[in-house]
Amino acid sequence: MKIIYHCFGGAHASPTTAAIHLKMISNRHLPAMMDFKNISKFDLAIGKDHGKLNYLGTDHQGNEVYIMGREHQAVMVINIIKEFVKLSGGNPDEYHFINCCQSFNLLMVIGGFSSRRLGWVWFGRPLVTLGTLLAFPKLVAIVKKIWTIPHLES
Amino acid sequence: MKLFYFYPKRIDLPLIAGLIHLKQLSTEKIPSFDELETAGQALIKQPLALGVPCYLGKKDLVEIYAINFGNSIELAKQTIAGLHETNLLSKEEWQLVTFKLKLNWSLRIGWLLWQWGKLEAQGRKLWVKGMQQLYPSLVAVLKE
Repeated sequence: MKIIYHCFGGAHASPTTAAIHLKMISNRHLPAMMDFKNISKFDLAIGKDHGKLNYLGTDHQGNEVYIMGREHQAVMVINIIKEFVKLSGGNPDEYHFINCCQSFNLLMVIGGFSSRRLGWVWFGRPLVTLGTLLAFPKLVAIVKKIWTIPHLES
Repeated sequence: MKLFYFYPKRIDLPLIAGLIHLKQLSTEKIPSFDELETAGQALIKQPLALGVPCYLGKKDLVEIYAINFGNSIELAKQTIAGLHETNLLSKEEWQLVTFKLKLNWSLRIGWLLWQWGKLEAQGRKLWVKGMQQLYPSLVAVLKE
């Protein structure tokens, strides 16, 4: 299976959720602000990366884990991926898309916009990191829910 | 090869463009009311979600599709490019084709009314009239 965590820009909620999934970051306690520096692709994606699947690793069950930014067009982007894979002879059912946007808070929105869209990394990154920290329990809940889905086991 | 016709926020124009490409609609004369109505009817009956291609047929080993990316053309292109970069699509050539046209109001309003369903007959007539007016320009732009 391919597990794709997606959110607006693919820069904060989805990399953090994928890192929790891949056990790159512990889900037992809140990480420190510094720990976010170790999350692969955190606060990195920009507009030209949107819509593209970004491979982060393979989990303990053999599922490939990806992240993706899809702006406000989740349905369209997911349709394109599934339909084009089908046309190419692949199996779209292998793709499992998980929305991480429900974890968003105001700090993530303001910080993410400042850092990624405006390029004010010095201002936006600390804000969005704090926002992601506050959203961390919600992201852990998303991953725990995914881990309980039996058909995701390889 | 797979060829996808698209036009910002519309599916009717890519559909007609695809049918012209397949020579199911003439390039020499403006199609009749019935011909255009039949083509549009297929889409009205089965509306397509954004990003879902509609297979129209095959000509000279080229598969022709119509697709609607809404107003997010760039995002759609990036998504398809991303699938190629990650080798999730076959090596076969995939081509996205669009064109520039100045749309008339009959076509715009007619399609909306037809889709809405309550003024279906009026919408259908308006849309066909608008498409007949636009048809020579569409053929010309496709020939380019």
